[in-house]
Amino acid sequence: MDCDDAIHKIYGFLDGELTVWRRREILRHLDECPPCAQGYDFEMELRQVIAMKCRDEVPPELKRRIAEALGYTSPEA
Amino acid sequence: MTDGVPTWEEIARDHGRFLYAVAYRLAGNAEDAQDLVQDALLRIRRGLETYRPGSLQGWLARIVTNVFLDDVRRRRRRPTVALPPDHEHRLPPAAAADAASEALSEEVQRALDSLPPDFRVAVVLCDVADLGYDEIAGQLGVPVGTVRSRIHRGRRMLREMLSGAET
Ligand SMILES: [Zn+2]
Repeated sequence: MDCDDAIHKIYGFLDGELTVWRRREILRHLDECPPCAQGYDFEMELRQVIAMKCRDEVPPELKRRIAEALGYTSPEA
Repeated sequence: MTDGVPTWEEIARDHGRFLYAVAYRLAGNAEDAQDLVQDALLRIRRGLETYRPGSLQGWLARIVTNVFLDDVRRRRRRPTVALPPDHEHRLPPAAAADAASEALSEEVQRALDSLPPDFRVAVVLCDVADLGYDEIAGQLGVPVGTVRSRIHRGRRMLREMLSGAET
């Protein structure tokens, strides 16, 4: 696997969309190629930052609105 | 949840946080995200009888996504004044708690905001909702190849914007 190939497949790798065999190929390339490994780290971090809001708390205002909605459970016309 | 189909109350109580997480990344600010969740919950209540036991989060994510995309289309038809760039400074001061990661997160959010909505949706469903490409394709009703290309192109655009901002 060369760098073009590795970069091309890195998103599929991160998203768990590749076969075990392809994953192993990429991992081997990342071990041997610092620039690609750096690119991989960046993408990994970016993915984590995008997902980070999942750990955030729901604002109290929204909690209040949901609680309010739960009080009126009859479906609207 | 007895027969695999949760009640609306269970969804509102147990999945509000998940809905909010997806909504925030799509909308880009807390205020619009709350409106999205509220509209999504109304749709969920109306649509619950058509829900078939399966990926509940996939189904919930699709509803928030549809509310968001409907909103985007409505805004596009109606000429509106764009939000000022400092819109997010109206966030509550609690955000200052984790200032460094919050600042980074805001930068990423701004980059996400500038992606075309279809690309943003694909990236958010993948990274925040943690859905697989085939699941996203099923929820959006587009081919897997389209999902793959939107995610990959969207990420490349994010990478370019964020690495450009650093220098
Ligand atoms: Zn390489």
